[in-house]
Amino acid sequence: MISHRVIRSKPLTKIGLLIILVCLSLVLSMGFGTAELGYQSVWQCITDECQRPIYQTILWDIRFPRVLMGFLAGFALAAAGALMQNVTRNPLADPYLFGIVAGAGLGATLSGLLPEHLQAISLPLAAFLGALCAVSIVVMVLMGNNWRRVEHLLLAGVAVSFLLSAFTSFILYFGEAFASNRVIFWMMGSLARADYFSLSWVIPVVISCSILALVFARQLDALLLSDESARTLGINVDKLRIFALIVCAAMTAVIVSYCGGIGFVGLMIPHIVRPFFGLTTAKLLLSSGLVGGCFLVWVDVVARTIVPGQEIPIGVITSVIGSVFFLFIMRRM
Amino acid sequence: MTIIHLQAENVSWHINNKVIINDVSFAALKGETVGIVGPNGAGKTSLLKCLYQENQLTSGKVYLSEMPLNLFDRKEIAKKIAVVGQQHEAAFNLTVFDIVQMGLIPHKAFFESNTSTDKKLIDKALSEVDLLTHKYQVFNTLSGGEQQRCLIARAIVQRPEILIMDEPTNHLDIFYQHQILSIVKKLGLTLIMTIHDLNLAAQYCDHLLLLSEGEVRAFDETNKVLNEEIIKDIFHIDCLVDKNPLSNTIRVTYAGANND
Repeated sequence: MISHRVIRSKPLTKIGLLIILVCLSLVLSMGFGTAELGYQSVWQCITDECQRPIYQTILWDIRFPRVLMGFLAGFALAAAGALMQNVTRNPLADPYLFGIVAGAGLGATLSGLLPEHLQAISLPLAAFLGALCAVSIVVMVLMGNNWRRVEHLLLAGVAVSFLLSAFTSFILYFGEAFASNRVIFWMMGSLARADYFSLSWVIPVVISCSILALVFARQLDALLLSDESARTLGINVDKLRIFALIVCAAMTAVIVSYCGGIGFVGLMIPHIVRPFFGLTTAKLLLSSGLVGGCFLVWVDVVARTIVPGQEIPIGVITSVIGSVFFLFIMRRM
Repeated sequence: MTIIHLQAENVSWHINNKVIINDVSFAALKGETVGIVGPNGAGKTSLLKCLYQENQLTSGKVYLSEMPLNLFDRKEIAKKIAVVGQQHEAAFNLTVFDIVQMGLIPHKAFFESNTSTDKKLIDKALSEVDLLTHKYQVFNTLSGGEQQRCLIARAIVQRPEILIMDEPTNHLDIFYQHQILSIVKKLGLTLIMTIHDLNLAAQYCDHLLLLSEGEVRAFDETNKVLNEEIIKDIFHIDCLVDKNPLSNTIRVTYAGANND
């Protein structure tokens, strides 16, 4: 997979172009949906007053939060994937590898299957707690042990992931059919739940996690060669890696709790971005985030328009588009 | 004036109850080159790792400018000691520039980006090791000698006082062996390196530490360490030690392996 040339031009120009692309995508994607609005009315709503009050509701209460959530989810998943791949030096690393989705799934299952009057906490909160639980197990297992090796981190994540998924399947198998269905659909991923309340959680978490990762970008770069070499540069490798894992976990968990399982974004996007933006952490993280955000915004457009009057789970589409596109890219690399 | 720059005092390192390094003491003076020689498995690389704290000492102490090394924090040490290890592969498509840039890390605060001085420093380091034309080449596609020079450039950017190198001439042809060693000698740093080739050691090192089974067998000026008896004793090979007429340093000529 080694491409011998790295495409170079001014990184700022490229990031600038990406930002323009993101803005265009956000605006254009608002025009798609069950109700036909047309770009003129969308544009009018953004720049001025809407023609009809119903447009106001459709655009600002339904579509805008959804499009923004799509962008943030794509941004967070792709950036977390980029961060994970860099700190583990493993091109297959993905936030989903660390049991985050499995944990969120278990949390969602537990909360979704409880009788109505016992549901003290909402599904997103339960999913978030589940995800944090999974990551804590991974970190604890590693802390107790001599965890100087990156592979241990990945293996522990995979093991915890399978364990929690097994619990989830067990509960769903014996669960009441209707509630089980609800949870299963949630796990396939959807942006339909997006509203201003969920955004008020997602926005601060994604922004603060991205800033934290960028603050340590140079230190994180040191890990790219080897742990030992990073230590000779004055880096506390174990602490830095746990820190990066927690940042990824928080960012992914908040997305998974509101949007369910959206696979492949974290794995695929950094691979696509790397030849164009290089692989140092700051550049890779930002560009992966922006590309991932754009990608998910358009995937969601497909999800809500491809079958008239019905929505396809977004996780299904990311996996299909993602894997085919990925195989195609790999052939050309 | 001779100043002791890096000193190991009764350093021992055990792992799983096995003694790897046993009671090693030596000192490197400011600006000189100390070579660590010895057969395979003697503990040369382990000893180096004890010096830069990659191995946690079982007992003994390492002093940097006569101060115990463990009193410095990681970043301070990284500003004084640079390490060129044996690295032949990098993850992803790490470029020469990416790697050389890492040398700035100990000198940078969070969020601080590269200044024009840093960029000049990187270019200067690259031209010192003659890799400027390979600045954006992928590390994994470089030859062994180029990879070694790239890591040396990183060490130059790190601006250390002491350079520790593990087998810098490994896998290199005769031209590159001399090229690498003369590049690092020119830097004028205190240099501590493990080295296999006794003739190279004789040519480039001021002091030699002869290590065998984790213990010091000799530590002295190079021409006092290398003699026929000790080489036969430690490497089990007959040899002739005389003077290299071209470089005026010690020359070791080997007979075949002694299999008796």
